[in-house]
Amino acid sequence: MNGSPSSGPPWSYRDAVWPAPLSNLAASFAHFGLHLRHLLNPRRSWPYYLLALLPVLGSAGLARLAIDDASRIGTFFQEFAMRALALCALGLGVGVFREDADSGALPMLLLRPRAVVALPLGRWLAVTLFCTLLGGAMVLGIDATLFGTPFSVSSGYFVRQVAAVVFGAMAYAGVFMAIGAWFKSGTGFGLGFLLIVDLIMATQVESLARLSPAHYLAALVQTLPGKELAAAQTADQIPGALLGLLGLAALGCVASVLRLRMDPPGA
Amino acid sequence: MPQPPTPLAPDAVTLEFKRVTRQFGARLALLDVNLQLQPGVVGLLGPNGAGKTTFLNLAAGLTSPTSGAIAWLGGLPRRHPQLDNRIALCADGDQLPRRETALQWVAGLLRLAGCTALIAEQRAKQVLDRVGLSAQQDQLLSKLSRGQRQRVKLAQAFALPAALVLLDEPLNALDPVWRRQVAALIQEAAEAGACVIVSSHILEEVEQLAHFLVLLFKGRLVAAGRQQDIRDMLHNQATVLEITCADPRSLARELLARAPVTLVRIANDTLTIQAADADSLCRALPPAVVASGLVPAQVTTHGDDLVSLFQALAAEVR
Repeated sequence: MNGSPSSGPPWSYRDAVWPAPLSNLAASFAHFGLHLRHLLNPRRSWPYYLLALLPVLGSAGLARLAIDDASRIGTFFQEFAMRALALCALGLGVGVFREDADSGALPMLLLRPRAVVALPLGRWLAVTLFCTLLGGAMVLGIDATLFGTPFSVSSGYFVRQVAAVVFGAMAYAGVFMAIGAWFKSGTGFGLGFLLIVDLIMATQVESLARLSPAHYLAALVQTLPGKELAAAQTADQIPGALLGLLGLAALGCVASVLRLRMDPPGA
Repeated sequence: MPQPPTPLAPDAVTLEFKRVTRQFGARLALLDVNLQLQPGVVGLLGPNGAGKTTFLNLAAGLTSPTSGAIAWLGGLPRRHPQLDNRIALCADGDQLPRRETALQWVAGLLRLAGCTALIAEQRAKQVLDRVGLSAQQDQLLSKLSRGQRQRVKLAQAFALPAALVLLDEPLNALDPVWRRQVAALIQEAAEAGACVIVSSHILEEVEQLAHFLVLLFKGRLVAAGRQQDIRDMLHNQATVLEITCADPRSLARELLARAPVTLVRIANDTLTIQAADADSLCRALPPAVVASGLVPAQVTTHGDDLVSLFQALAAEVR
């Protein structure tokens, strides 16, 4: 139904004043807020809620089998929970620009004064926070179903789990945002990344493993058979792993900014 | 603390293309375009694939030229702080974010431009009302018709007084009532000192609006000038008439006596006749028909449309 021209309050092109443009930081937070609102829409994100539920259901099954081998629990967390987190970040990360590019809205967004830097930063932050919330719920759900309380195994391990979720979400969101920015079929490339880089290269090709978030996540939370859970990794591995994940996140953000500056998708 | 941009001189060159070429891989989208545009309404014309959207994306600074340079507002580079908030774009895509309402989307863009939440919402409501969508402002964009979404896109482009307003096929999907309303909005922006570039592949669509026309064909700038100059080019180009009648020979004789005919061909009951300019041939046809005493069954013209003009001009610049 088409509306009719209004005879309401007078409107003039001239009657607005140019607002002072936001600073880069304020614009990033504005993009963050708008994108988080978009992500929190249940109609948008229900598949990710279900995906986050799967590892919790798996751990409940593990609990019923009464498996108390700590290294298996660690492996379960690494292999399933982190994969679920990666899949959530894949879906949300590649969609950061693609949805707006496909809908034709991205060029209009990019003309907001600070958009080229603030848009990827703000949206990356929103995807990271959303994935962290999902991952945090997974950690609590897994630990609660396996041990009755998150702190049953050890508080140190719990902290590592949380660090893995936060930094893993940062890295995966950055990497997949960049893949979505550079490739039209970003989901396919993202799945390729998960299969080739994260599953194969992270374990088989040592020199290229640094490109894989899974390589660093393994250093944070994977346990080794027969070792005590909390002592499975030496403490000096952890700063390197966190730095590696931060580096991948930064790489993804920079690659996205470059793409938006050079030749934005959909323009 | 960022400051609002300072106003510019009203006659400043708003947009300047200096030997701009843009390639996408092996495909040439724009070739060696030289152009200066001043405030007012500019019609950007060309058939599909002429390079209009590439031109607008370059003008918006969204993409960079492969070679050449673009300057805004008297010579500024794209990332200059004085350009903040002064370029508005209504892009070509017709979907928009599906899960946002019209008000959320327009107000969100205004907040990103630097408006406070209160002012953004107030201004968004005003501009949506101006495009007749106050009743639909809280509807999801996916629930709006194509014409309504087009008006939402236009609303965000006109929400703030920009110096350069780029509208990619803005009249698509609009009914005649809203075409007039949008035309008024475009004029209002131009009167406020903006350079409004309106792209279209239909001359009639922009001739009411634009004082200056830019014609692109296969990535080349084939003509740029006042509307009347372009109209004259259209009237002066070779035109072919195909007339079906009972006695094409006698009609050809009458036309030869009245118009500068350059080609005559008769096949069965069809006369094909070409003249150097459309106007003289069209003026000669009625008296020739009367003099021959024939009643043409069908008259078809070729070569007096915009595509033919594009082709003729492109052949000249090759």
